[in-house]
Amino acid sequence: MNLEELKSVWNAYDKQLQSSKVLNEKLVRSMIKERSQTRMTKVRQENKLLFIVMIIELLFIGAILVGNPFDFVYTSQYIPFILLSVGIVLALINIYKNTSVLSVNLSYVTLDSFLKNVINEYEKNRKLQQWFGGIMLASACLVIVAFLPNKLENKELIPALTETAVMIAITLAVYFLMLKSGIFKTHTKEEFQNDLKELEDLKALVDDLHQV
Amino acid sequence: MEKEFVNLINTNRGLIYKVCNLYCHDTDDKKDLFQEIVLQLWASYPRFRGEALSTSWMYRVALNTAISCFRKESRKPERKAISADELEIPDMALFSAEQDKISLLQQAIEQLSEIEKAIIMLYLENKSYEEIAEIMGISLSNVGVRLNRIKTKLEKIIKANEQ
Repeated sequence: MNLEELKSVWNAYDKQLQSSKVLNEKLVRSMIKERSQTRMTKVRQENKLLFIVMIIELLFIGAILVGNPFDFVYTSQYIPFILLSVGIVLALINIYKNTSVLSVNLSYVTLDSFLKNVINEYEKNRKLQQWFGGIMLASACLVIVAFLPNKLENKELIPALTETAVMIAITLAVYFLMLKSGIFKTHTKEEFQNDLKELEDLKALVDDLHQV
Repeated sequence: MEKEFVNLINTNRGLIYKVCNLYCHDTDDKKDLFQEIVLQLWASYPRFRGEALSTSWMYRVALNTAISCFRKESRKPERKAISADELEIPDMALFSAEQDKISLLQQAIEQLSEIEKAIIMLYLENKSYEEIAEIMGISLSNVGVRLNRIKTKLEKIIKANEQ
C-alpha cells in the first residue's frame, strides 16, 4: 500500500466519521462545565475554606481572652491561647501567600515560569508549615497545663499532676498517630512538580519539532 | 454564541475524533481528550470566531491540546466526567469497509512520534505545506523535510507490517 492509497483510506475513514452521531447541545455544555474544574481552582477553593476556618478559630480565641470563660486566675494561663493565635496568624499568612501565587493570570506568564514560581513558594512555605505544626503542638500541651491551677482547687497535687500528664500523653500520642498516618501531608506540591516534569518533556518535543 | 459553537463542533467532530484516535488508545482517554479539546476550543472561541470558518484554528487547538496540555501523567486527576458516559468516540478499527487497510494505517501511525503524527495527519487531511507550517508553527522548508522523512518511515513500517 503506497501513500496515495493511504490518503484514500483516510478519506473513507473521514467520511464515515462525518456520518457518526451528532452531539447534542446539552452534552457539549456539560463537558465545558465539568472540565473547567481544574486543580488550581480546587486548591484556591480549599485555601478559601481554610482561611475562613482559621478566622473563626481566631475569633474563638479572642472571645476566650476577653471573656475568660474558664475562670483563669493568672495571666500566665492565657499564654497557650496567645501562642495558638500566633500559630493561626502564621497559617493565615501561609494560606494568603499560596492563594496569591495561584491567582496569577496564566495568559501573562509562561507556564514554565508559573510552575517554577509555585514550587518555589511551596518550598518556602514548607518551613512555615513546620513552625505552625510545632506551635500548635506546644500550645495544645500548654492549654492542658493552663488548667492545672483550676484542678488544684478541687484536687490534691499528685492526682491533678497525673491527670494533666495523662492528657498531655494522649495529645502527643494522637499527634504522633496523625503524623504517621500522613494526614498533614499534601500532594499539591508533588502534583505541580509532575506538571513541571511534563513541561520539561514538552521542551524536548519542541526541540524535536524544530529539528530539520 | 453557544449554539453557533455547538454547530461548529458538530460540523468538525470528525476532526476531533481523528485526533483522539491518533493520540489515545484507551476509550476513557479518548473521551477525556475529546472533552479537553472542546473546552480549549470554547476558551479560545471568542477570539477566533472570525477564523472559525477555516479549520486551521481547530487543528491547532486540537493538536496542541493532544500534544501539550493533555499528557498521560497530568491528566489523571481530571478523570471520569459525568458527560463522558454519554459520549461515544467512533473507533478507527471499527470501520468494516476498509478494515485491513485502516488497521494497517493505524498500526503504522502509532509507531510515529507525537509531532510526526500531527504532521502526517495534516498531510492526509490534504492540508497544504503552508497550512501545515502555520498550524505546527514551523518553517515551510522544515515541513517539506519532515514530511519526506515521515513518508519514508511510514512506507518502511507499512512494508514491514504487510510482510
